[in-house]
Amino acid sequence: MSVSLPPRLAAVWQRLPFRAMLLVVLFLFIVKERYPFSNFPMYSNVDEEADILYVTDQADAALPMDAVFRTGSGTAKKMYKKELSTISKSAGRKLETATPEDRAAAGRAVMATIVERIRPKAMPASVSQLRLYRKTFRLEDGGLAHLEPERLAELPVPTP
Amino acid sequence: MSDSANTINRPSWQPGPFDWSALEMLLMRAGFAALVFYTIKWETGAWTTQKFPNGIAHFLDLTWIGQSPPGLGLKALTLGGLALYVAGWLPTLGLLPALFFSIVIGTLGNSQGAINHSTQMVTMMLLAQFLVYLIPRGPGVEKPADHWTRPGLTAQQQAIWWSTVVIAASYVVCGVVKLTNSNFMWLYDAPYLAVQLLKTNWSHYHDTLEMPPAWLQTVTQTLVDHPNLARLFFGAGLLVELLGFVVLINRRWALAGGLAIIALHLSISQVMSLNFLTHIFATLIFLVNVPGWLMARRPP
Repeated sequence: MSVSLPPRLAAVWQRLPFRAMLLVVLFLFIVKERYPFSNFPMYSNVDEEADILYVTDQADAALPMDAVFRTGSGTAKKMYKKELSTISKSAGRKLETATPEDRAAAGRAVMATIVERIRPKAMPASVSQLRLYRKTFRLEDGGLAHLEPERLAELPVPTP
Repeated sequence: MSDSANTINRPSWQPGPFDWSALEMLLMRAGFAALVFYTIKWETGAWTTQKFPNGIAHFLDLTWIGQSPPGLGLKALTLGGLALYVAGWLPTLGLLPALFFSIVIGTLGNSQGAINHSTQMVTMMLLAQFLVYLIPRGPGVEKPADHWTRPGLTAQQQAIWWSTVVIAASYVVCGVVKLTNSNFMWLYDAPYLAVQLLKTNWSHYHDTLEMPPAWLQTVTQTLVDHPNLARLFFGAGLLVELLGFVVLINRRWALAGGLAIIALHLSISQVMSLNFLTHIFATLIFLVNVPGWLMARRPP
């Protein structure tokens, strides 16, 4: 079975530069993020502010997230944004106007997910509490400011 | 080194498959098979839910693969299929297990609330090759039965060609999206990326507890102090992405474009601790194609 285009459309198609690639670019641009397809939007929206998520113990000493939680800081941050977006949307708010309670709820949801992934052998024996923090960096007055970290969630280390 | 008659007779803006030799393509397939197997995130145990479904997870429950990660038997089946593909026998059937696990595992991984972009390009290349082997099409391609059992040189060149098309399209769309998502202000706003540099390096610190090198702080501050330098630095990367289509023109452009893409990834890796090894290896295999250049230098 073969599909043939109307003659005028076929002529335009024949003249298009890099047409196979253009077709794929157009397809990816429209489809966006539907695995395995992607429009690769990383760092397409740049802002004067950026934040990270990290986990500490009860004394605020950082824990190596890859080794302990099988989830990196970047992945945790993306999960947090997704949770926050869902929570604030259901409360009729925009992501930018999320309240501290919304942020804490999103933090608890992220914490609940990543503690499921704990590698007990990688968890230092001295750790009894886990705290999830959000730290923001901002470009202001010609310098890079590190804002005070915000504690989003805290819970005891689950027993295996 | 020459390009195929097919390519030579076309204008550079309407390129087609290069004159890859059978041996060259055998080596490409071997490299790609290894890359595909490495790219599949076989350790699926952490993904027991799909709270934020993506792709086919919107209508299929894929959590079974998180609850029962593929064992040695299924990995061996995938490797066996990839071996068939490398040998050029029954490639449609051979690629099927790898394609299945790439899509199912990749989709489940991306349904956890965080989209990761390290595997999409390789999976799309795999899908493109699968479709070329599945659907016999174009002049010089054998009858379906022969095409499916042992595709000839033309079909193999098409499979490689569509892989390079996927690479080119991935970079071009990435550049286009930077422009459209920022209302075409991306280059102007590029100095803000210094904040992203700081973010990714602290993010990497919290992943590993390894402090970023001291020079990175200097680089970040320099980009803040000199916005036009930041525009030049990040603008060069944007240009590499937007001009990604040149790798389709001929072998020389593929080499030059491929090296530029690798340089882009290595610099991102250095300053942002973001490693796109799968993209680097795909580029090395299909665009830089060292064996192809070495074969061309060999005396007849």
